[in-house]
Amino acid sequence: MTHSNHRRGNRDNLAHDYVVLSLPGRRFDDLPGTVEQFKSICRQHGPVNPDRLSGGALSHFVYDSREKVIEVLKDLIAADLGLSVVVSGLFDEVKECCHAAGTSPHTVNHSLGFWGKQDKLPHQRMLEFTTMCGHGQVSPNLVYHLAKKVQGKAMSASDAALEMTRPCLCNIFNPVRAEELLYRFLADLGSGALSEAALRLPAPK
Amino acid sequence: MIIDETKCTSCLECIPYCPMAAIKESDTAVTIDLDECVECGVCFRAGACEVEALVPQELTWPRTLRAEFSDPSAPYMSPVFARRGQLVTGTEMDRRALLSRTGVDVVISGRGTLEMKTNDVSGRYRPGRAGIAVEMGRPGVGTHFRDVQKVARGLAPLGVNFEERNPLTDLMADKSTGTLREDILDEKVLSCIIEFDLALDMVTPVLERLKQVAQEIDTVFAVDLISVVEKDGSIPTIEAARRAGVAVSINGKTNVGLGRPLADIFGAEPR
Repeated sequence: MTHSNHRRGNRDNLAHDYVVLSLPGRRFDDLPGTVEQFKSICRQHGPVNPDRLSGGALSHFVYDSREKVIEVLKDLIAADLGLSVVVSGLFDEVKECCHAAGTSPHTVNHSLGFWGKQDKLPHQRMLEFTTMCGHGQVSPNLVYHLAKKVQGKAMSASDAALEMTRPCLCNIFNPVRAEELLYRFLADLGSGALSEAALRLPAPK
Repeated sequence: MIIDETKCTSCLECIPYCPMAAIKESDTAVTIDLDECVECGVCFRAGACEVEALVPQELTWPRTLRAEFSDPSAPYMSPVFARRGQLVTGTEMDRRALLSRTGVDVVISGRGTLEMKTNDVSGRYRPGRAGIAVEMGRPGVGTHFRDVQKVARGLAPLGVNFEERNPLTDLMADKSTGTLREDILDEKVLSCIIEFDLALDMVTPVLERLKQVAQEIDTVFAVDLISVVEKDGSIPTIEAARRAGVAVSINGKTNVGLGRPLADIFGAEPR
């Protein structure tokens, strides 16, 4: 799957967005124990995504700092579980995390962006939210709807960010980053730096 | 997904959740445009409807594909029945049970394969080769299989080897031409992935071809470019993309080499 590969943003807000996932390569007979150990290690280092997924071989944890990623990798290296581990994030930061922890990048997957009828895409500021769910389960309309609730003081930004995580079944949506994005989004809407008409929200045909 | 109009109170709470904007308010009720609905189940799982008016209806072939490609929790299995000429009806659990009773393994799942995630163990991508994934419909626009076929047909003449274990490849009537089954072309899904590996020197021409076919479709796609990291730390696909006039992202996925046993990707290619 490629669903954590196209998280849009700038260097500044992507620096607080890392996804760590694991998969067994060949050691299926060791599967149950090693996967649970992986989850246990990851949980010790302050992941910011809600701990919803349980069971299954595919595990995702989201972190908001490179320091956490370094500590997770150090512990995974020491545990020597044999599971393949993939980190999504800024390539240069992840490379430094690898070296600091005692490993090196093995294989990389670059995003080459979005091609085709790009006028069908919402505004880049909406994509910063919605691309945190690579399966497209978080609608731009939901992000806008929740942002308006925050603006109208019917909901806190943290609760709105948490609500955005719920449609994401793989649980890789980053609520801490979403909350930061919400504050900037609403500030720019309020100041006129961003217009609602420019958002290009999907509409019924 | 359908709405039980006897229960719906037109509270409109479900509308924002739909990734396809398929739920709409009319003068008298809230309805779902079934042409646009990709059966992803987001509206239902959201729990926004307090009166349980959202009803996941029984899906039959080929509409079953909408759920299987759009709902990450739905396994890919209805084409197994379609190939055997069986009528595909019943709930997802019924179909799973039938597959289980007949001993047929559903060998393909999800929207794509493991690709680079376990490459430290599988050695699937090696120096001199690369991987490309074309994520049709992403992010969040959706795609008809008709447009997927346009892209696959545009790539096939370049000799790309579509990944066998990818569910989309399983739907090809003719892999050599990238032609899909005729009966699925009008189905819409949230996304599906055209996946293949190729020689490094083919990356530039393939990307140039993708730029051409991108102008022929009525949707979007996201492109992935996979490469091993060479011993000297270099990533050869970056230059290949640059030659096609394509910039690579500053962020993406890194397999950090912890899988064991480690495949010898720099040794002789296994037979």
